[in-house]
Amino acid sequence: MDMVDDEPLYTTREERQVWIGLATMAGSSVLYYTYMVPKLFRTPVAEIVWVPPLFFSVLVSLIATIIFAIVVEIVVVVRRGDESKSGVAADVRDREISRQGGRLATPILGTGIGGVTILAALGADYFWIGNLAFLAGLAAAVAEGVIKIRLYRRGF
Amino acid sequence: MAPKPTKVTNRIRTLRADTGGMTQADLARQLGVTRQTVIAIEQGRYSPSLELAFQIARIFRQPLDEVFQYED
Repeated sequence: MDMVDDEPLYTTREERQVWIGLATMAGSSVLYYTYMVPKLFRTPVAEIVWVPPLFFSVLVSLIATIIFAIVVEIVVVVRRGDESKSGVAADVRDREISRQGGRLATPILGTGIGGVTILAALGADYFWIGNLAFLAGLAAAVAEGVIKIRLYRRGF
Repeated sequence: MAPKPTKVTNRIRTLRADTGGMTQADLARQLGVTRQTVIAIEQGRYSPSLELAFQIARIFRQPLDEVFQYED
């Protein structure tokens, strides 16, 4: 048996994308909250400019995800060779992990949307409505990513 | 070391060796999955679907319970 069969369980392209998504989401949300939280203590909520920073952080996250994905795949091809030659980019295990990962994300997002609806019905400031929607989306995406990584690493 | 998430064990590694040293990549290619999936199955970190289990058994020309075992 050749030595290559004794390699550890290294990442698939799908798993790498999950890691990258988690890292860029964490980075961009830290960027956003580092800007926003101090303002929340100093400025009345109605006067806080929150829409451009929020969209900027989402945009940064998207662009960073694309760039990191390209860079990481180049590094992987250089170090391990082109995995796409096998003709299988995502298989049954990736699809099962993807499906299971979404199970927790959906209720989190649903709860967030419920909260947004309640805030809107109570006439809350747009700041709270927009930020709760952002937080719900972030929490759902992080939960999905963490579950997927756990399934990839620990197994199921 | 964390306990394995499945009670299903298998003899794929042995069967590969018995089949003239079939590599994980060879098996993955025949199954239409990534090599990481074959590694995960061999290490007991992924219980394959029934369909995939039958495909594996068929490749080795073995009954299913000669390839996969369920620990009590």
